[in-house]
Amino acid sequence: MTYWLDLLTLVLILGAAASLIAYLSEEAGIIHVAGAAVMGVGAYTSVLAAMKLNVPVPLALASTILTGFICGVILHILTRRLTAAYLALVTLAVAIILHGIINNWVSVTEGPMGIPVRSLFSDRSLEIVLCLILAALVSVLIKSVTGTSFGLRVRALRDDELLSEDLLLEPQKTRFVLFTVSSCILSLLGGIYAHHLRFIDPSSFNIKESISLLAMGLVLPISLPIRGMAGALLFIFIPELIRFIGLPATIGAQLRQAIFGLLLLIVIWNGKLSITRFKEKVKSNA
Amino acid sequence: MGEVSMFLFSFQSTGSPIVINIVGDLFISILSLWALYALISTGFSLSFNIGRFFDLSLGVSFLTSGYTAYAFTKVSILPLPVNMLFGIIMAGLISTALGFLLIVPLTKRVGSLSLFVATLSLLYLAQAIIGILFGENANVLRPGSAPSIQFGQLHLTDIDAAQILVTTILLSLLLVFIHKSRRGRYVRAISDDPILSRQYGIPVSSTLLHCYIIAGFLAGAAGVFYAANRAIEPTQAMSILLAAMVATIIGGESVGGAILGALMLAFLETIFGFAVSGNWKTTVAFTALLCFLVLRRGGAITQINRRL
Repeated sequence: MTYWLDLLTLVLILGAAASLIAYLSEEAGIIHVAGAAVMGVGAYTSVLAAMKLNVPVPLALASTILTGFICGVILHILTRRLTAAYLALVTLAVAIILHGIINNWVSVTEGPMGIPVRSLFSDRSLEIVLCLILAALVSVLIKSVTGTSFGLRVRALRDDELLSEDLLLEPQKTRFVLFTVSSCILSLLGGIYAHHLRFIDPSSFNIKESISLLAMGLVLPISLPIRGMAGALLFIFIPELIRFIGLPATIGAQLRQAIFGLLLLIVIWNGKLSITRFKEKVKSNA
Repeated sequence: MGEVSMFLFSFQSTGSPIVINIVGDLFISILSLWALYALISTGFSLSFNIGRFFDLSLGVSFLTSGYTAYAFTKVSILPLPVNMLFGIIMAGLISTALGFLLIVPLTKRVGSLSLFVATLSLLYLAQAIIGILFGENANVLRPGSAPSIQFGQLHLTDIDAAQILVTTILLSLLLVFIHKSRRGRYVRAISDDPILSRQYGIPVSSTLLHCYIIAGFLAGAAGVFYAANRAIEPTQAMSILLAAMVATIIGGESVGGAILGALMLAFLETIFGFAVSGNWKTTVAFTALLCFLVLRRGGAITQINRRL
């Protein structure tokens, strides 16, 4: 039972992160490929504060918001005048650089050896409750912001940044808010993720994880606030369920990956990927 | 900084031949890395310009060729170049099948991001199948030290020499194909304006298929040389693909730009690998590239230009 609850906690944390990435992609046109890297910054901030400076865990977690804000400001400055593939590429470069720093700054982060981490609560069920609340808050935030004037400014930024500037909709300010708020939340989620895992190393925040996070946010054609959660469910539970088929231990991991890759292809082939529907919607509106 | 100190010490104590050797070694390393990145980044450039998507399935061709050559080396008595050729042919066949059965039909059904995720799925699938067939450990195509060739003061391995030569020939042929052939004119037209090209009757789908197959062959060539020069493992393709993707973008998306971008990336990685600890070289190189992407005005970078 604990095993399944652990998986559920992972789904809630990564699902909330994927929902944010999905919102940025679909509503703002920002393809954020540094999601896991920003989570990594939060994770290491919290862990280093808690384990090396002996700061209480809740305070250590609060400090992740500050480092998340700094990441958001840096991302905004770097991508200020960029769009589409170039913006995605800069976030990709940031992800590689952040991962490189985490991996190579051994005197501080212990590098690939990793760091054992103190858990947030002694009772695991409290962790799930916290993650459930956070995931719900992220979903509510995404749902409520979509209909507001800020949500409309975000769409204007996606559709025509120049026009939105001419209409005094302050697209740069909108981008700044998007990057800083999303980075603060991602960083906080990274902190919680680290305390949930009880051990962190750089491999949890590499570029592959960032791309998986993006894929989780794009893969299913359902409502934006819960899409990340459903994507995380698919990405985390399906490989685990395949584990129970009774595959040979030596090739089990590869077979799970193969089946997962195949399933993902089938989903895309059937045109069920959310971004496909989105494009169709835009075309029909036009 | 240890290598730099050693370099300076050698320079002071023994004079210029050592300097020439070190500069020569760096030059060969840059060219070897350029050849690897250029073969893949030009493939990226083709699919990005024609299909408007980042094609991670080039990693499938890369792995297929490397592991096919490895399998042939294990079971046959044929010489290494023949096995490498088999590897490249197999990569071409796989990319033909994937392009015909999956990628081209998908371009008619889904958008760029979905295609990106689809190619990522293909890469996952290929990594898993190769992991099952060959295991997760690194495999060496040719154990032991490679025979060395000398050009004046320059020393390079036979594989390095072949890789640089083959890459130069293949990329020259590709440039000739793009600038001199009818299909190449289609490629340039679709790259400039896909909608107008379609309206003028240019066969967009078959041009995409041609480009996908060419990109598969080029990635296959990169895969066999990588396996012969270093060691190949199933998870390795992703990092090389990402580097090549960056090279494509900093070069400005065109095929010529991708070749130049690959040279810039190879130069930065090699120089920083020499100046800083090996583990930091990728981070420092990507930081330099990030600065380039952010600071450079025009050319390789797309900016929002005022219409008035």
